Amino acid sequence: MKVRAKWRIVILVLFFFSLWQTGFFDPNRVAKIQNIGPFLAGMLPPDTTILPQILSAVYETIVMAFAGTLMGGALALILAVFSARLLAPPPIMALFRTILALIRTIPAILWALIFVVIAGFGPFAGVLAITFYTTGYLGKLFYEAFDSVSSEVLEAVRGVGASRLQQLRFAILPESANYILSQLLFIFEYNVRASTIVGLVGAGGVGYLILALVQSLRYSGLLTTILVLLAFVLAIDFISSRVRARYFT
Amino acid sequence: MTSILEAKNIWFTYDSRNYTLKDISLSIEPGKIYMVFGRSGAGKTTLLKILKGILKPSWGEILFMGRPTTSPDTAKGAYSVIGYIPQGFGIVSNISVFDNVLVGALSRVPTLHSILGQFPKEEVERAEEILEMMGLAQFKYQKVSQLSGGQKQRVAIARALMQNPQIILADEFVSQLDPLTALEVLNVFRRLADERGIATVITSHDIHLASRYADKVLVLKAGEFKLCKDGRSVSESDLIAAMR
Repeated sequence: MKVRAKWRIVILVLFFFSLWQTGFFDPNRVAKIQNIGPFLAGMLPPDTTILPQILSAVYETIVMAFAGTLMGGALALILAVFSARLLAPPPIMALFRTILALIRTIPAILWALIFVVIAGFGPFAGVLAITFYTTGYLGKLFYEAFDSVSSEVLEAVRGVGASRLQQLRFAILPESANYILSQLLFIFEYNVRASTIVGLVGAGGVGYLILALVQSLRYSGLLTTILVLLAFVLAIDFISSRVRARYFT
Repeated sequence: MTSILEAKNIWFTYDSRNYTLKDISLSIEPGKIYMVFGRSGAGKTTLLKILKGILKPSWGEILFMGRPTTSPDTAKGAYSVIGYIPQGFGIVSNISVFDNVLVGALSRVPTLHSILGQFPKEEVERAEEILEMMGLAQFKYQKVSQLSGGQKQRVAIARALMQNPQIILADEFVSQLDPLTALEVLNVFRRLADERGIATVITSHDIHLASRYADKVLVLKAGEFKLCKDGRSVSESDLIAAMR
């Protein structure tokens, strides 16, 4: 048997094993799929009476995403300076890259759980979670952007006798500015969705409302919330992609 | 005449096996224009980077005002008065023409002041004078990315002049320009050489300009100088023969 065929069988076996382990071959569980009918029926018609409550929660989510994006972006910028090969000595660079990797290892929802424990329920914990998640993600993108600045530009600016900070201010930041702003906009789009997720563990915003609606079996309110959220996310995606295409490409 | 910068028996290798430069010696005197010709890969860019101090020679030494640049003080002094214009000009495209010119003053301005954009009045006035001299005054606040190739080249010269250079090293400087703009730029270098005594080393593979502008013509082939002649006495056929 060829090596490739053996691998196919191994992957197939692992796949069915994973399904079995997660209950896909349990008849009682599979039978519960039928619940999808009553669940969808319970969503209709959408409940518009809670619209003011939804709009307030969506507003809180967007505010959380905005604050978290800017704070995370600022922190990422600082950490990226110390993580860039062109700016920091190798031991400092290695230390800060490790810090960023550690921050990145923890997903947004886990950061939210940590900050809910530390700071209690509500959007404050959510903003902190988004900030940390954004820092890890953008920090890596920013230091990679710094390191990809044209060597000719750097050689020329170094060639006039500029210090490292001057190189950062007059060559590296201006040359990577478009990319940095474009990534900030992109992560803001992403953070609007992430803010919804972190809300599910009690860190404020529309996720918190979704959790409350599900727990009280108010599925028609859930549908309205999902539709409003969808409209906002699509609008933000549209505006952000237009701005990025217009100014940062 | 005493030389400002001197390369003595320079050897250079990137990979410890093949030598990009082999026993190169060159003496640069004030107010002279040197044109180094050679085909792609002949070692022209490497030579300029060594003269600038971006690369260290594997063997041999560079003397600045008669002193070896292995001493940190001499190296620092040389670094700040040697203007270097790389092939792609090395200008920062996302800032204004004026800011690019001010970059040339960075070694004289305290770091904190410069990063806050606070340049001394005399540096600002000097940058304005240079912009005027280079015909760039009307583009002062324009982003460099909006300029033409020839205008970008003038910005690169303006930044080098802002360093108060004694030497300008320009890599493949005229090759990317249309003939008229190339002549304009070379006239600028001639003027700087005659009026301010600034020496210029230009690498190129465009041999037509040699006799008209160069005081000294050198041909580099496979890392070695194959020709070193007075600019006025060199013919195109001499250059072609040396480059072959």
